[in-house]
Amino acid sequence: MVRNFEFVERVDGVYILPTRCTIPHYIRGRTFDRAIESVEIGLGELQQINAIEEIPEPNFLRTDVTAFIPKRILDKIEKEIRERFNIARDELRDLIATAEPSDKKEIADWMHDAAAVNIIGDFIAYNYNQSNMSFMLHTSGDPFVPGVSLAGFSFRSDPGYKVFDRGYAELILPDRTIVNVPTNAGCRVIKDKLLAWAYQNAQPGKKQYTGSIFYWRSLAETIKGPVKNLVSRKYGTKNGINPQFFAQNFTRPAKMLRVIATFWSEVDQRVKLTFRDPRDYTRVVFEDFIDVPNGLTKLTANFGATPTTPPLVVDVQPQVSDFVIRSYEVKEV
Amino acid sequence: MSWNFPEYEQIHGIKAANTLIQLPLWSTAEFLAELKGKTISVTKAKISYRSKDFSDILADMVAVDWIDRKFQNIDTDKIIDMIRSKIPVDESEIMEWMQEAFAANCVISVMSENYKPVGGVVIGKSSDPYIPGLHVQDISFLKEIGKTISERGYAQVKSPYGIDRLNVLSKLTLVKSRMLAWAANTYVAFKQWTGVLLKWLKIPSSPIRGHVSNVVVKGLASPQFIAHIPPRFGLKNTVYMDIASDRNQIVNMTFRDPRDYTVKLGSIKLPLRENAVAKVKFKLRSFAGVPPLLVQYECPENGLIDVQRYEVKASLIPV
Repeated sequence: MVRNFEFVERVDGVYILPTRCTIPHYIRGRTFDRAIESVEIGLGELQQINAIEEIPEPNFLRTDVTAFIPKRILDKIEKEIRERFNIARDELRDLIATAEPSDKKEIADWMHDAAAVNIIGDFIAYNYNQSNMSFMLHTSGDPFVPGVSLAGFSFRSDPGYKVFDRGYAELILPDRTIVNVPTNAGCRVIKDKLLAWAYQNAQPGKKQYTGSIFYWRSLAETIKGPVKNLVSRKYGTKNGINPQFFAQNFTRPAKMLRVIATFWSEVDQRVKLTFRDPRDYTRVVFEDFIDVPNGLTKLTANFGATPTTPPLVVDVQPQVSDFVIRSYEVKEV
Repeated sequence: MSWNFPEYEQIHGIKAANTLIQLPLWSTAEFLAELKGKTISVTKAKISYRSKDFSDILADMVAVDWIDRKFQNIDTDKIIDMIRSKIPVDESEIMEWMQEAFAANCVISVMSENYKPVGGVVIGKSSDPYIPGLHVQDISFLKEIGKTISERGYAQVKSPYGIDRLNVLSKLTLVKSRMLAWAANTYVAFKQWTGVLLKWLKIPSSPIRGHVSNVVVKGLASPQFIAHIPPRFGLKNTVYMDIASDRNQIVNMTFRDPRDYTVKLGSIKLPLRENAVAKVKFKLRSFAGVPPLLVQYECPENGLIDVQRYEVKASLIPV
């Protein structure tokens, strides 16, 4: 087995840590090209297993949010947390603010929000990192002071009011290119070797605000069993839902594969599925939308290609609200 | 070339990202296994000095374009006053700990940018470990308030290897069997305090030409690491190193086993002079062969160093 990219890649004279996944040994060079060109994907019917009333939160996850809340705060707010696996960011922020109010000396308002976002980010990353090779990194804080950076990604250190007036914050990528992260919305970063997501919530007249970066360093993979517990959370507006990325790969060559996936969704929503080339994440092989009902749902999909089904990177983007990929399993037909 | 460890593994139920070194093909597992329990003799270093101002080390602080390049540094004491004047405490949003953390983030940025071109990767962050919280990959501070750690006398650093104690307002180098990290505490108030975490992901291999520097955060110097990779098998290795220092200090160089970083195989002390580049030459000998090594630089007197060259020549003649 080899990885699609080196541990460190040099891009235009700059060193970056790419997002990596495993490429099975049986597919190389022209075989890979032919497989990618010939791939055909059939998304089957979605079958609702449980409605949201029967499973109101994704309690099948490995751990809940309370594992990441400071004990001093948790002792004060634990009884008030209704949904441990699905607490909303605003609700968590308000609970933290009641437990540890601003004191004009040490604790400032922005820290409540940054702490809430950090806790939810830790929860998402912890659950993601349970799959075999998976490694997701996450950070949140104030991009102005003390700054937010993560493995080569950095928010430019601008005060919040400047970012709000302009309408976007600047996120500097490891290759030194810049993407604009709109205020109160998320921004997907899909470069040929990088997958990331960023969010910021600058406020009018305030210096401080919260910036958050998610970076997929090593993708969860289906090569050694199903991928599980990939969480997408709503950070604010509709566009503020983090995507999930993982690699769909298989141990041996197969002309046809069947995917059996189980999703949990808070509401009925449309979810965009994009399948990407693992040698260049910007190359889209196939994309489509699925209408996922609330609660638990099962999806079956078939993949066929000649001479063998290629490894693909799956990009899942919910459009409305919280969403969890409970499991995603690949079988030979 | 092969890696000394897998990139990730589960340690005590936690997904751990190891600190990696690329080993040459000639250093097989059998060769490295034969070295178990053996030490390496290190000769006394021959040193000559050349005066050169230390303040030359710069790199782009990519996220902070409002700090003039001339203020960029790897020592927070040299930029903290400028940060305090540009972003004063306003008792509504900007607090004192943020200035300290911001200064630390700036110097970490400069250091890690200099570490990349020689083939290394180090990541780090400074923030308040209570809220909003501080973690770097798989290492983090336990989320406690400043009063708790100051009364107890230490903060707790959590890693896949367990919990380590960091004394208040001090530093701690975490050398674990497969992980290298550093933690520091630079400020403590009633609730808020400032923590600094550095984690090495990939150690650059010799030959090295560039700027491998450490950082000083409020008077606390971090260590720095490189990999001593002989170009071929040899019973004797001659090391040629250029190392700059910002002050008169004695730097400890420790040679460690790349299969288990906690195993020390030898050490040497280097007397360095203020604002001078020391040209250093010394020899390593082992009758079983000198293996690839992890080299750790530790500045006990909290000074800065800048390794500008590290080259190894291997010989089969041990004398």
